[in-house]
Amino acid sequence: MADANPFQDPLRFERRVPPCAIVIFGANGDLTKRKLLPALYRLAYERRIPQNFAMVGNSRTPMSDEDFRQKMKESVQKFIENSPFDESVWESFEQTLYYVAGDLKDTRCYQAIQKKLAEAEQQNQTGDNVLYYLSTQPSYYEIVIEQLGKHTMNRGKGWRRIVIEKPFGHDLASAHKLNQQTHEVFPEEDVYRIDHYLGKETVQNILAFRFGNGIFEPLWNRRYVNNVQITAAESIGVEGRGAYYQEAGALRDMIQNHLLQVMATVTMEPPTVFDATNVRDERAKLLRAIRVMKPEQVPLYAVAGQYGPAKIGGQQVPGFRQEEGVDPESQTDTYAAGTFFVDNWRWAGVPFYIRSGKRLPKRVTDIAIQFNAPPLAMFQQETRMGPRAPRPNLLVLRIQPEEGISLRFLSKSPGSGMRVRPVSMDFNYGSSFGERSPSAYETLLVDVMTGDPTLYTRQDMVEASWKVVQPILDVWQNQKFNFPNYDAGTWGPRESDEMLARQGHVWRTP
Amino acid sequence: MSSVALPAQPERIMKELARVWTSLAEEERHQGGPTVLRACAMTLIVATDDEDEESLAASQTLTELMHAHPSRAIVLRSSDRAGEGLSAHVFAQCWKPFGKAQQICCEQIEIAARPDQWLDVGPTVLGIIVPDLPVVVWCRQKSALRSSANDRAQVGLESVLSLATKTIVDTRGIPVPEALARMREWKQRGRIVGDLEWTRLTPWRQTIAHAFEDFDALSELKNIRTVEIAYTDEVAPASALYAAAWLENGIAANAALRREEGFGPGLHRISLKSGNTSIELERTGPTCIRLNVGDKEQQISMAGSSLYELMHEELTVLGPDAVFDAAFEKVGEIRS
Repeated sequence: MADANPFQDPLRFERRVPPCAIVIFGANGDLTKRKLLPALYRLAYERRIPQNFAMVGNSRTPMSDEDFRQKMKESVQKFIENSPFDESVWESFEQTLYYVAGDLKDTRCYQAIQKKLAEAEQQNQTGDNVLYYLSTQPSYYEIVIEQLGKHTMNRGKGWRRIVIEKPFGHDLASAHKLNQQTHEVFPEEDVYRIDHYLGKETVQNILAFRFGNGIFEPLWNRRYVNNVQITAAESIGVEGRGAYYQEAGALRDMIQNHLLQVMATVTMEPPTVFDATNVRDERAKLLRAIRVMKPEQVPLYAVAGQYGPAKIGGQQVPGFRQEEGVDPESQTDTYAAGTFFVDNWRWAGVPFYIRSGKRLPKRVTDIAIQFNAPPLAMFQQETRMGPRAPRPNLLVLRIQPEEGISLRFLSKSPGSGMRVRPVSMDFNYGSSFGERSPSAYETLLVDVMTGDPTLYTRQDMVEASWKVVQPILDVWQNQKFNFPNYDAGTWGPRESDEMLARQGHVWRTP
Repeated sequence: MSSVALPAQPERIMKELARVWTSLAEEERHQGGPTVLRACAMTLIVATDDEDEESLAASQTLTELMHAHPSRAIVLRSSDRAGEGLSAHVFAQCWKPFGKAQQICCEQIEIAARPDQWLDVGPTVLGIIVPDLPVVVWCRQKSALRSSANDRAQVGLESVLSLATKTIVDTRGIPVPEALARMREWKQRGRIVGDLEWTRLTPWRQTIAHAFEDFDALSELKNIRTVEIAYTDEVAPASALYAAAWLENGIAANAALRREEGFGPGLHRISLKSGNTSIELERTGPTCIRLNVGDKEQQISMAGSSLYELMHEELTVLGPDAVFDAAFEKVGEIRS
């Protein structure tokens, strides 16, 4: 037998999916329709799905394979971005789609899935490799995992992997419990906890930016960095997800997972080798180094907010409590901000401000690294208020929507006087490399199917990030807020500005 | 934005470029917009001439390429209709990415010269390439691959090619022996050369490579005895020769080339057979290939075959390409 495929050409061929079957629990849900199926179709279009592939969808709605295929076709046509829909490619691809209706609490559902998998294996020769994707409501995670174990669907001749969508628990204790239950059925190396932020090209580019260039890393520490601001703002409200969001809130929904992972990516030490274990070890070490607040520190270092009704662009928008499915007395945070410190030699004393909210003025996610001012202010900056000490350098890593990197520095204003003004040097990822970027789900699906967990979160990372937010959740749970405390369309509550002012800083306007 | 014709002297061109940028920035400022963003990842030189029937399509492709590979584009046009002396036009290609406020601009310089004045092109180009970034020459002059490099035009072009990090040609429609001989000459001088006829094979090659990963094929490799490559052109195009060479580098069997009716131009079918199984790819439409592995069938997209996509792929591979080099070497053996 030959050792390696002599026809491979890694310089030109993209990684592709190995022979396998995916079982998607919650296949009639939004995530499957909007993200998973368009991502799988796109992989097929790019010749990255083999003949030996099958996808088995499951939900409660009774449907035939044909009905399911038609429904998925409509979803792909509707939600595929920047890609043509090729009828002949779809015709081949849809032959790999199967459907099993059934209640996840009913053992017959799993027997039916087993039967369908056997059928798919027979027809498509998937190598008996199976990926289970939990795209259901989180309350079903435990049941599905347990049932997969009971039906020995966690073992076979090929590999078995499981993808778990966030939230991984709703607090530290439940996350720990979910991890334990998962490990009773699947070993950690087969568990892929998906945080789609880590699959974004621009988040991955942070690693390239930091560790592929020699000029930034020497500045990347407490000696030169004054403070870091991470913003994830949404201009929309809860958009029909009021009932879900009411149970989650901004701290759980965004900061505990996405933004702490982004913070870890920005601040982690360089891995010795760029592989899954080393990269995740460094991320985990950083998350463990984030100082955990004492309960009495929470009011000083964390701010909760909830938007009230306001007029935006001449249109009246409802407050959170007026949204459908939301308790009129809701105490849920639609805005959360925190001041975090990393207790290690590189970052000791540098405040990391993180904020996330709904109904803010615009949709933007970015990381702003503010450097120290020069030790001696020789020049003055022209402002509307007259000359003043110049603003320090700012490096902004933009995640969305205008992915890129900007560096603000000072330049002499034209004219005879020695006045300076800030200018921005921009690298625009989307336009400099205007090529269509793979969606986060395309990247992450290929990763899990090829067994690369680099961009997935590990048990210790999940628990470390819950440890960071748990004291805040505990204090907020026992507190009655005077909500709403910010108008829709503004940058959040006044208390958030005051939190920074106590450290001598102000939020920048993204 | 365009400018009047300038004498093609590097300093005049650079001065005009600076003027274009200043004027763009002022225009944006007057409209209350943010400043324009200059993007540049390479110098992309397009050498073309009167024989280039698809120069309009190429020009459109160049504009599209700017989005993915922002460049200082230098279009060198050899034309009998050009005036006395070298003349240059300077443009900025600008666009606003969808939904974004900032305007992104790349530079374009067009230089026209009569064939007998091409000797003077090299020194001008040398003065206007972007420092410290790769220089790619997209050579669309068929004559460059056909005739000997003795006349003045060829010597002029050689002076441009000598600046290139990579030269991209398209041997489609050019007598293959002459084209390959010229490419071999360039490669022997240590130059990196890409051929769009090779790039056109990517969907075929990728599908074959994948097929050998899936079915227990790797162990079947040594049993493959029959390799057939069919094309629709009158004579075997370079893509068919490259495909044969590439396959022969991986399989201990000789490839048979033949002409067949079908979708074209270029490759129509590739089939590999052992005693136990067969892999066959057949073009079934302008953008589709049918793959049969044994009795299993799959429709494969040929996405990646437009001029833009071919150039885009070549521009992402700026360094040495070991797989192409090995196939290119093998083509020599097949032909001899």
